[in-house]
Amino acid sequence: MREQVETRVSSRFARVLVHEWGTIAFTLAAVGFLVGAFGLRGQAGQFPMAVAGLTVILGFANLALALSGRLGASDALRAGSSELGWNRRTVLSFVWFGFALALTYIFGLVVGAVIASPIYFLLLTSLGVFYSLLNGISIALFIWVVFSKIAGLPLYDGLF
Amino acid sequence: MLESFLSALAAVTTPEGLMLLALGTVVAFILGVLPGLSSTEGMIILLPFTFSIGLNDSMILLSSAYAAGFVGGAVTSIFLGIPGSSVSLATMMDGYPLHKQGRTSYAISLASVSSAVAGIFSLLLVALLLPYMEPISLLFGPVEWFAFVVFGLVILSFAGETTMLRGLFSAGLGLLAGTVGLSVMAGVPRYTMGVSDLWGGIPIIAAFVGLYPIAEAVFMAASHPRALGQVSEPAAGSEKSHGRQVIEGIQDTFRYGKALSISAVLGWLIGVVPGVGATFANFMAYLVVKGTSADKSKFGRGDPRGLIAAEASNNATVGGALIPALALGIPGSLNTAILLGVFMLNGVAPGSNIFTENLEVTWVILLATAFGTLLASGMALCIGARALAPLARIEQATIVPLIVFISCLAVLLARGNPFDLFLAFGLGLIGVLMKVFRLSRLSFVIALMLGPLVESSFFQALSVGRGSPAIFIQSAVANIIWLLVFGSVAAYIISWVRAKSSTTDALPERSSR
Repeated sequence: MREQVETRVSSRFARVLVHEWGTIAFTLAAVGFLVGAFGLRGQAGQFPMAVAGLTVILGFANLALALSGRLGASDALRAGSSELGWNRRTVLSFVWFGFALALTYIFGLVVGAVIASPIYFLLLTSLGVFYSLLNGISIALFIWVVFSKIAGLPLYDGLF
Repeated sequence: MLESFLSALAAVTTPEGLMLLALGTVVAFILGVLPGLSSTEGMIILLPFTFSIGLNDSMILLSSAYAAGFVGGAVTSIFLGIPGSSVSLATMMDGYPLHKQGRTSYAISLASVSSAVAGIFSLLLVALLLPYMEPISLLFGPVEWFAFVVFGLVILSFAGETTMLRGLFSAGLGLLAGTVGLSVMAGVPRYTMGVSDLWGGIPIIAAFVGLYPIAEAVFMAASHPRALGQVSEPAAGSEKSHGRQVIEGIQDTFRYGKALSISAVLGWLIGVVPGVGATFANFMAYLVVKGTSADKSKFGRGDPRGLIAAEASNNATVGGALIPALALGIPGSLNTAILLGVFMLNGVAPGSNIFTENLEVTWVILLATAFGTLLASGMALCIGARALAPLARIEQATIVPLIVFISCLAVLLARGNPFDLFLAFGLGLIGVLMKVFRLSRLSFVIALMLGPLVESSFFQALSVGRGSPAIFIQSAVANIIWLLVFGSVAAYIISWVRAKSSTTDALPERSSR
């Protein structure tokens, strides 16, 4: 009997760890803020200390509620995770975003759009090479014409 | 007052003003029609333009977009049976059945006209209340302001996308993110990890862009392109002429005046409460109109009253949400937070001076929102069902690069610092995680925006009270607000416990079968 209860508790614990790892990460971040606040002097540390303390309590309360299975039906529906499947497509999307922003940082907005957009269409849509290139160049052209030529905004042109 | 109104009207009706009005309306309307995008993304995408124009023109552009996106969202709900944005969730309940019955133009007509009428009504109400808003805002010192922000964050946590605890937790995280940078009180760098680019804090535009368009774009890119709903064909032979259906829709909107007026008033009142917003109003008005109707049998099967209730209420929140934003500088929604962000970038602090020094801008916002609502409703009516259908069919994934690069442009123009791109990317990841784990991005971003102001008002209040925390309960206005805070928390907990116990009661019945 005791073993059964322990197994149930540990499996629930494992499930909470899996389903709530994001909440755990955010709670740990709040703990980081709390620890950091102790290193700040005077008024600079008081506010973050108070807020971080409350946030850590709220984070643990969320986890405790999930662990005890005390979420009501509607709460479970609202709190249950994920619409985003962690598959190859999701990973590719994240990689593309990082790549596009890094490219923009180094080479500027127009060059970033010219290179990153066709790669996006090739990797993440069903478009062929020609239409991917065409769409990518159109996006860069659209941004350049509308924002630089018509609106007269300075477009970031990279580090070099 | 009249002078400010006339100069605002002149500003909106200049050729440049009208062009910006049309641009804001068209962009937000199209984005509203695209599934998954809303007026919020529309406003963020339009942000780059605001860096080359003045405050009045920026407000014309953004305010018209604010209202137009709501009208666009209804079109998707009617065509696809999936909400164009969260504020149109209840719209699809009766809008989609009408489309299936071959009465698409009728449904669009009902949605557009009720949106326009309720939107204008809510803005007129704000205009009538303008003379009384300055005295009200003067009642708010640091103590009252602090209490009201706490109230706003608590309400935001209840009515937001998630549970109360998660909402409060998200608000706490947002306040913590707001402490990054130089301390407002001591001028000491905090949590900057030696990066001088972070001394100015997390820029609000990077936060908007990261948490919303970039996080949404990740979801769009990651979802399979064919996962979108298809536009279903209406029932064969039941399609009347477009013009006849439009006229019928206009007539019926006014025929169901009770539903229209209840929803408009309810939407406006819900809009005034910070954070509750259009999504809640959309559902609440639907339920209230259904509850007060004698014949409830047609609701959910294409009842015009359901569609009127949903659309009138979400547009009526626009005017209501402007009140706390303009009078107190507390954004009630993400859209008003963007408006306030642009105010701040232009060196204008919302609050009582908005009714004295910057009254013209207030009128510009009201007029541009009104014209934007009318223009978007007119567009929906005139373009017609057949022309709008292809827009609703566009695959989300194909517009991702455009959204990402225009968002990058907004981030780069806000401070001129390319480092902000990394911040936007980091906040994008946080936004994705928050969406996946059902934490409230809205609570986070509004708390981040208000964080420095909360901290300074907290210490100002303490210094007024010579260091005694008793100052927070020595003002009548603050005490009323604290009562509202504790009353709302208590009401939420009671309803949660009741829901929990009713679920527990139901379990043995199920197991005994």
